[in-house]
Amino acid sequence: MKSSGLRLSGLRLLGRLGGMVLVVWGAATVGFLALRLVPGDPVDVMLGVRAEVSERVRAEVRADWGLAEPPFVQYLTYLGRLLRGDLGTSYRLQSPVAEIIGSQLAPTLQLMALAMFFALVLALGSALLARGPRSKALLSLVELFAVSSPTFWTGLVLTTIFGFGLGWFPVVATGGLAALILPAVTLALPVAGIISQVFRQGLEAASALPFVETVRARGASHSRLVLRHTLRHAAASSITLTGYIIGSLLGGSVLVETVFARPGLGRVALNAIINRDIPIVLGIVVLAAVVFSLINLLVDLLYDRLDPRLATAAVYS
Amino acid sequence: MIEVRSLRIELPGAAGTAVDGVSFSLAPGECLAIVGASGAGKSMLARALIGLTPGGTVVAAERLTVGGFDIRAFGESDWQALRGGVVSLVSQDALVALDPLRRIGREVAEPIEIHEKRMPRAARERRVQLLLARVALPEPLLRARQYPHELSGGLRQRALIAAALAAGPALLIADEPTTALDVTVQAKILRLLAELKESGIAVLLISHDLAVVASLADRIAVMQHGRFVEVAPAATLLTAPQHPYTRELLAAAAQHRAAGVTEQTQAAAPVLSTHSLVKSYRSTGRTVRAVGGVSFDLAAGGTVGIVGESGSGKTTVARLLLGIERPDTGTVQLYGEQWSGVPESKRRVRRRQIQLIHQDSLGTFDPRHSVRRVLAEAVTLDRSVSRAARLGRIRELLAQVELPETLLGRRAHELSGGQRQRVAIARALARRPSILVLDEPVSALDVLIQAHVLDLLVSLRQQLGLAMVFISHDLAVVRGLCDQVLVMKDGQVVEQGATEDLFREPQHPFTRELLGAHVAALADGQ
Amino acid sequence: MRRASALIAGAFLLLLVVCTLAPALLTSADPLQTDLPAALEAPSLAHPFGTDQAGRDVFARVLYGSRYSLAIGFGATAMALVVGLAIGAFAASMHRLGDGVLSRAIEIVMAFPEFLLALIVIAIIGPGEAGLLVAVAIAVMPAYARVARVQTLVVTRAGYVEAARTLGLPRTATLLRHVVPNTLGPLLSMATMGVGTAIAAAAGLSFLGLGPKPPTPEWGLILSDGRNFLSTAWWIAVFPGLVITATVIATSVVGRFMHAPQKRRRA
Repeated sequence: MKSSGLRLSGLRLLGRLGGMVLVVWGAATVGFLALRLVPGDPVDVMLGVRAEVSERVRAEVRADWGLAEPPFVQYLTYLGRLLRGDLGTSYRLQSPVAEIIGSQLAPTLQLMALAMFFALVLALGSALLARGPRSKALLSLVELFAVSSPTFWTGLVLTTIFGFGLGWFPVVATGGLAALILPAVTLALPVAGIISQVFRQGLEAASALPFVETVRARGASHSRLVLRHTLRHAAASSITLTGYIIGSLLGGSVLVETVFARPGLGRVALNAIINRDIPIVLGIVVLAAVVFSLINLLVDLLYDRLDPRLATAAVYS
Repeated sequence: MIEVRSLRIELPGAAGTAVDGVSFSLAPGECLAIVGASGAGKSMLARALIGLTPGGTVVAAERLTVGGFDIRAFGESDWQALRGGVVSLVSQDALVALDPLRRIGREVAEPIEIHEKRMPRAARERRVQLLLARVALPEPLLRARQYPHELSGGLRQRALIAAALAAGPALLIADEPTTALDVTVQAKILRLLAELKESGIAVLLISHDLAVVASLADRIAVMQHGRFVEVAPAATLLTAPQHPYTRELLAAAAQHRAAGVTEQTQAAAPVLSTHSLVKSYRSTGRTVRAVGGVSFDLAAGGTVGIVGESGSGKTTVARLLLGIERPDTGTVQLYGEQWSGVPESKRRVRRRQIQLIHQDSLGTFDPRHSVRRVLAEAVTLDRSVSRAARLGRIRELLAQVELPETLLGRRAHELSGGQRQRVAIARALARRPSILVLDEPVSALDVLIQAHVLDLLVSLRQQLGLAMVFISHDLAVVRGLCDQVLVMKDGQVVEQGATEDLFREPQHPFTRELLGAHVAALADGQ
Repeated sequence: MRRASALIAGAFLLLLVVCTLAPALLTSADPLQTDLPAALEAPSLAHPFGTDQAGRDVFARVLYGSRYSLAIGFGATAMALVVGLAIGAFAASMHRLGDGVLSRAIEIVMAFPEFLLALIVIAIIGPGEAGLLVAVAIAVMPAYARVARVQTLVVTRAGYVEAARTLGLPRTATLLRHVVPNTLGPLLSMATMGVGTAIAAAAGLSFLGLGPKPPTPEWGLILSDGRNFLSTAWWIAVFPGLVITATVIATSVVGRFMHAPQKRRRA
């Protein structure tokens, strides 16, 4: 019984790892195909906008991408490079893509981490505190606003009020923590709105389940009911959001970094898109695919731990 | 243990009075059963005794004590001390009554954690083991580590009872504790409750089914519209009922046993016949044989019963008969012509002859359609009804199933369970079938509503000369209705024969077990 | 209460449609007319939303801007809905292998957040108005495809479709009367909510300079203009953002209102 269970979860882990490889491979392939579909000389495409470069660089591009070879060989060369962890070279910026991304990773990660912290505190706090019907109605209104306001606008409004108006926070990136707070709050608000909605609905759905009566009939207090029982149900339903949340934080960081003129991955991505620096774009796509499939893998595993019914359900369905 | 005098429960809003002037008392080691249809107020009464009525409910009484405490003035912390410690609740389906995300052991330990905070962990775990052993849960060490969904229905119910006993309450409120279970399992759970009663625990048993409470209750209270219409010792109430409503309930329970079986099957050619039907499903590499060799003939106007517990393959048989599923091997013939295995286009023109009624018809109605539209769709398929005559035909159908025309504008989810089954029957009749396949048509309904729908089916059978295949887990119903019975277990037909022979001299041990459970439950009512 | 808020939200959306079709009805100002002496004027009766750095009337620019936003919002959503429905229904109708491959592909694309996906598409096909439309459509499409697939599977296996079959209802009648309406219902309420998301995404992209070129009156672009004058003229950035927020809220309120009876019936 036990060993078959172990073997089973081992198999499923393997299946999921396979799925993860598939996602990354799919993203890399779609990126490669898209590149070939862009009209024009691939060399020019690689070089991006305003590419007035020497024939030496053009030769370098041809060699790197094996452009003299048939397309399928090019594809294999490309995949081979990815496998070795080589994301290619930005010919515009004259440096390896991995290096460019690596150097700009830290500010974006800081921003995302602080935003995630704010979002969790705001969402869980408000969802647990709002217990009466009136406070719940108010909360759901605030949630709707938070989710619906575009980040680039909230950022500007917050800067106007707290930066220019009250002068509490610097309006330009200084590198200090104070300059990080407004961007992080901006990024956190819509995410907090979504977590709060889902978590509150999860709590409500769980407290409407029949077992709640059994638990109360045992003499459990309200806090015991929430902490030992319904919280876990709500967490299980919210945890599936993780991938989506990290995604919106990453997507939102492009906007927030522009609004607050901060350095970071979002800016790198935006500049690469505007200048059509294709190697960087491809690098970011592959990196994002790796990150998202890793997150989804973790979420899946966590979800199984939180809801034991799924592990067996998979066997029977 | 409990003393109640003139208890009134007012629900908030339009719901009104749920319990209206109820008085009773319960002594240690005694079992009082409260029996009535759903909506009679019996569950609300039970909730009031444990302080779990919905918000805004007003509970008033001249006297209301539980375990010696006057609970009228109780605050939340008083209730928390009482619940689990003095009174415990066992409710219907342990699959949902236990927290699905927690292990059985944790669930059973919870009342101990709440009421005996200082008990060391090791002692608590020993207690959990003892409790699981006390409710006769096999392999308690293993079970404690499992989750509710990993246990069978009966074992789950035992675990729920163990959790209810954990903090040593003197009173157990059991609200429909066996309703979700198969008959044979039902009998075992009732036996367990009887043992608990012997050990001195007072049991307040709530059920819609007189047959269930008969074996356990010392006294029975019959409840209707929030009042006790009759309270008497069990034996007296079952043999000499005073109140008309009690008699109606008893008749409903007995009807299935007595109802007139149609005269033995005519020798005419069968309208429907099956030969060695086999159907298997694949599920993660394993092949599960849902139906293994079912053969029977259904004569015009005759009724075949198929009996078995859940998962025995009954529903698959129904789907094979309807031609919704293809048998792996074996055949179904309708009026002597091939029915299974022919292309759907050939079957469609003959489909009107054989119609199906499900256990829960809610899913079989398009959620966007009103009753009028549902019936109109079926009537329109009938070429013999002209466009102008359609509304008249719809009215006629409603009258046939005894439904008022005011329901025409409702959607399926706005109907009661009984009304829905009647609409489903009307829709089937619109096609003027000669055969009805009924898959547990009344199992989801209250006893009294069950009786009414069964009456309707019997009268339709006589009026319209319908042949029926009646699928049920309920032997009583089948015995009253069918002239031929098949008993199924794990996809196999273990016994098959004329109804009276089979009930008089069951051959297969499983049939005997089924009958035994059934008879035990009814023993006091005979 | 729910009904009232849905009515207000619906009225707001209707007003936006009027702005799109006939903006001149609501303002006499020209959104492109510069008037340097009147630059950066605070909101007043003559200029309800104030003026921008070139003295253009922000109110007129926002009104005229609804044309771009709504066209992209509705256009991209419609494209996503149609293509998503086709892909989803096709996947559901295929056998195990084909369905598996297609739903796997949908999952791969859905691993990327919508905004990032739109950015990537723009990176490949290039910026501009048409690019914006296609990028937003592709970014939101996988969600529709997934819901369409699940919904088709659920509905074709639903009890009422089986009941129609046992009743002897012809295939096409079953398809038109039961399968299509029940599949489409949830998708349409999803699309209503999706219009708001699409509008916000499009505004975000043009805020980043990936959409139409200045001085086109487009909500994201106006906001981006206002970014440089936050300390002196907050109104340039605040009003268009407020309108975007209101639009997103309105579509989700209407969408939820449409979805409510479906949810009730299923419960």
